[in-house]
Amino acid sequence: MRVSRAGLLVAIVIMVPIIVELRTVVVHLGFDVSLAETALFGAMMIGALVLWAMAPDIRGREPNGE
Amino acid sequence: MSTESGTFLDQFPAEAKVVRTAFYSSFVALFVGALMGILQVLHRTDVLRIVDSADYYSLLTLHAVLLVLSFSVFFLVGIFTWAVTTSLDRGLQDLRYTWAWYGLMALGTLLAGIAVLGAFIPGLDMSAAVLYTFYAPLQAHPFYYLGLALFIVGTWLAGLDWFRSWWAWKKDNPDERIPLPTFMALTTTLFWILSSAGVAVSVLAFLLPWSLGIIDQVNALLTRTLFWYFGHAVVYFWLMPAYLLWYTMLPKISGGKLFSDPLARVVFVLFLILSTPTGIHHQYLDPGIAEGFKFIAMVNTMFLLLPSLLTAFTVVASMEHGARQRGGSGLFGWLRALPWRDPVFTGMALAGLMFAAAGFSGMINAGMNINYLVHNTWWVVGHFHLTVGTAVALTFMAATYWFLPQLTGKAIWSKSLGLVQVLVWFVGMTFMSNSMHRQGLIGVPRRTAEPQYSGFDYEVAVGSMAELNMQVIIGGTLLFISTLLFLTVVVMTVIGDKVDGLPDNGYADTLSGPEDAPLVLDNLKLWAGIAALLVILAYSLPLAAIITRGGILGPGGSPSPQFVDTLLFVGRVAADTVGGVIA
Repeated sequence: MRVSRAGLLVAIVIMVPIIVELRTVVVHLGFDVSLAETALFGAMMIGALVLWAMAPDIRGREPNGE
Repeated sequence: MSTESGTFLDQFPAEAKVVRTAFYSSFVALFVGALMGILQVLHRTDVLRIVDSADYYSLLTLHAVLLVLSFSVFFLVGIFTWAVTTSLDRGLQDLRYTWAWYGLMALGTLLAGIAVLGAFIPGLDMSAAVLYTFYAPLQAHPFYYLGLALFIVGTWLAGLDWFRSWWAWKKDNPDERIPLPTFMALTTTLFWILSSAGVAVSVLAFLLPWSLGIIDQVNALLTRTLFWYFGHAVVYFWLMPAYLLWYTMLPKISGGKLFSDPLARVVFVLFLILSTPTGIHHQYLDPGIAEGFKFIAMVNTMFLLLPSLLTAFTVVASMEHGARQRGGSGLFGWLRALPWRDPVFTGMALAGLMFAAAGFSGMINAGMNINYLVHNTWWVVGHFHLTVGTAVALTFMAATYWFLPQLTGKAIWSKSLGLVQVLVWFVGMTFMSNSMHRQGLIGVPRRTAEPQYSGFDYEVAVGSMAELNMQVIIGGTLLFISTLLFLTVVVMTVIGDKVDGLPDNGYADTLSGPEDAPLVLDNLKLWAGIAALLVILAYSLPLAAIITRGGILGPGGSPSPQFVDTLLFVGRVAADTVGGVIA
């Protein structure tokens, strides 16, 4: 893992305000995004984050935040 | 710092009892206040209305007073008592005196609470639905004002207690610099006494006599102005113990040292001199105050961004130092090395992150022109739920996971649950405050039991009102759950068994210590004098204008009692004479 499990959990939590605010931003840019589409996009972002976190570090570093 | 190792309980058992009692008092206030909070969320959004809408304002008053005064200030006096005792390495001068100020604060809270809850007892002619912003024309039962006065006097005596410890220490250590945690407690005490004097005058000279029927009327604008003289500075009173923890605990928990002791001292000096002459920015829409005075208050307020930005720099630099000590590397890679598993660290770090967002919405509030868009809307409520409701409250809850073992000799019951608790708070506040800000932008009012109007729909920019309300309900519910999780961990820890091997009491060392700070920073008399001078410059003319126009006891007419007329007359004659001499 690239980050510790606790670190990953915190990163997911920090994504919540980003997802919530992103909807407001894109609507003001002229893209009307529904609640369901926002939720789907948020799930995809979190999924991508989890995949990145689970992948082995290419420089072989271990998370040491635990 | 103490040369004797062990927990705070081992080092100072009597003081630990005081701090523990103050913390428990704050937790009781937190529970009742949070309960009132979820009831308000459900009431406003029309999901569940268990009280009449007329009584909603009593719930709101109780929620605000218990959380922003009792929860935060009881915790604060605990933190500062720990900070002074630990950093001076000496017990308090007289514990009977210490318990006396704690007793005054507790009695004050009880009286104010009784006055508010009296509204729900049939046949009892008692009410205090005046909200936390308790200025005229709303009037409360005398118990409310008396309770608040006792509470504030209790905090003054607490401040004096910390000063007494420092004076005694100074006699034994005449050439030593003031230890940083004590310096922080003392500077905070100074501006608290300076700022709360305004509300003390308002309560004792006007509101309490008015409530008792001794005087018939008051000057509403004068009581408002005296309230806000205190009402903004009190924000920093809540915030300073959080800052203390960010400066003295967060670097240690990150695994490193505080980046700069001198910068921390500069920050606290700036708060001492700038916190109070800003209150009029809460009154931009008050017609009785000239625009020029409001502009001065706006400039003062903007200067307050400086110490907050210095804090962001110093605290993040300290965290980075800690992460690199733990093996972190890279431009951002060091973030991975931070102790995210520890709720003490994660809670404080997330609180700091949300405080940054609060800074942005605060700048909107502080701007004289743009404030008109959000004044008295739910935006403002969203803002202060990020400041006192997260930067302060979440830091306090996170710090509890470090302090509780220090005060009880018992290990935290479940650190994992503690981590979940701080994360749930962060998510809940994200949802709730985001919606409050957005609703404020479309004009949804604050302090309103039923913000639904027939024949009128808010023009929502994104989504719908139903979505925004749902966001508030989800957020408020998560916050209430987080509070229950927190209290569960506290109770289970307290009823647990004592253990050995707990970390020693202490706080962060520094990379750049007090020896690098100019001596003048420790000159508290100088900074207190400058703070008082700035207050006089910012407030003397507006107050004189308000009294001249509205009368000291209002409404209208010549100021009374007569001495005010006399003072103004003498002042005019003196000014004319000086002007004539110069000409």
